[in-house]
Amino acid sequence: MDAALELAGVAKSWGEFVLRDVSFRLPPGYITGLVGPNGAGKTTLVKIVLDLVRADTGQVRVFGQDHRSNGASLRSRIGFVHDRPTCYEHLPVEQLGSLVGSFYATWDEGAFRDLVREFELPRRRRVKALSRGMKVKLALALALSHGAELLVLDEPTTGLDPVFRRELLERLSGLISDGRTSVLFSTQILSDLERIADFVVILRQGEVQYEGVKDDLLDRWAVVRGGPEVTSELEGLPVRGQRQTRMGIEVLVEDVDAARRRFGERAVVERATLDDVFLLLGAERDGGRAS
Amino acid sequence: MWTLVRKDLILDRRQVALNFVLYLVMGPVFLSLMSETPVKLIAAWAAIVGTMIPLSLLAREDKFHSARLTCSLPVTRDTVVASRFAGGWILALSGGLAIVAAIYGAHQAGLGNPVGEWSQALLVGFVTIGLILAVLFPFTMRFGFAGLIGFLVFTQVLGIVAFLSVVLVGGQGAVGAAIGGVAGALGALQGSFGPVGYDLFLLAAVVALNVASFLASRWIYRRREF
Repeated sequence: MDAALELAGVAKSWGEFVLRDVSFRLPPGYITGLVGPNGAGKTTLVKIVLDLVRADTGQVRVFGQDHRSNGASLRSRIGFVHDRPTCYEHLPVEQLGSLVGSFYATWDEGAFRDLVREFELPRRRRVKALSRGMKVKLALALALSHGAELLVLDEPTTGLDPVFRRELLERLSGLISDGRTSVLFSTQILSDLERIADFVVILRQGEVQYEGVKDDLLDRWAVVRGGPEVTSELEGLPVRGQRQTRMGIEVLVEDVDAARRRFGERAVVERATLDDVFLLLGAERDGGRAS
Repeated sequence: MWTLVRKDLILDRRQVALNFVLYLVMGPVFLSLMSETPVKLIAAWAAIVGTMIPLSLLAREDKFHSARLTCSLPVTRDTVVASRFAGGWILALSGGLAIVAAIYGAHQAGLGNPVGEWSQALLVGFVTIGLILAVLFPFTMRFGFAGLIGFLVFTQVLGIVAFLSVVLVGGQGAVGAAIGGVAGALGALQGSFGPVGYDLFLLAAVVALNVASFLASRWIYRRREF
């Protein structure tokens, strides 16, 4: 079966910013979380997927088709939320829905109205008068009202209150249960990823540092915390990053069992959380990052 | 494409309506202030003013940063450009025609004293609108609102430079020669084609110019990043 989204060797340079050789695959019916610090290239990548920015090299395929050669037709199957939700600001919420809906053959006006009500959006208020959180909700309502098979969401949970954030994550989990809807969403909120993502792509300085199944990562990877002597015992272990702390040293190891066998009681060995991986992956002991 | 045109008209309806009303009032006022006004001049003025009506529509998306939304919708970039051309032409033509009609109506009511054949107004208006839009579109497609402002400032500066060259450094000869050269060339064309052939030639030239402008705008817009 074709992937909902597939990137192969995507690269883009833009002044000092460089996106290098980004490749990953999002199978249908799954959620992929794209995570990285500010400036890592998440938004650029999302824009490349939506054909708002042209990649210098590489290929983007959506539902098995080149995303540029059949762009309009493919975009009718994509729902999107941009990092800074941009709407036709002078229109009231209700009218914006009708206007955007007129571009989609599968637009469900009733579903849009239900979502507006559910998200407690004021129907008659102009978009420019909405708060950022409300604009995100509106963008989500638009994205979810035309039966999109691929949702591309750029930091959709930023600016949302915790209650709605949780509801949104539950909704996204519910959406993929049909086996045909897929979600790519970028975020800096790792707990969101931990809650719903099936796959994780960690992007840093324009490069993919990790791409794989989230549960594999959480099951297999470990953090070793101990004194400076830990560094002398790392040989042969799949070390993916380390850093000096005030208490000693933290080392990210790809094999939790091997780390436990090696250190026993001489160091604390715990399963890594996404926070640990995000913090330590690629880090060098002096605080720098491995190139 | 018509969904996009409709979208642009809905978004810009207030500005468009305001411009229409403003220029429809300005036309008869303009006529009443001038005596013996050539109909061709009225038509050219109405056409220039008419092309002002869609200006805000052409640059609106850049001004309000909504191009990212439009280009994320299931439409191609080429269709976006085509819709801008269609919307621009529809508004400019209908605006120009409405202004000429208002002036004609005012004249019938006894205002002003235009001279010449009203039938010529259509051709002059069409050619004027075509020339302005053909130059304007690639600017706005590439630079958006800034391109529009840049274009308007450029034309103002060009006028000021021409005026100053005449007043300060006695450049009347050069400016006059340039205008005279264009008029002479057009006269020569009219002489060789005959009146009907000349009109058809002008129409064909404007259409060709707009096709070139459309192709250039499309090329530009395909490469824009949002």
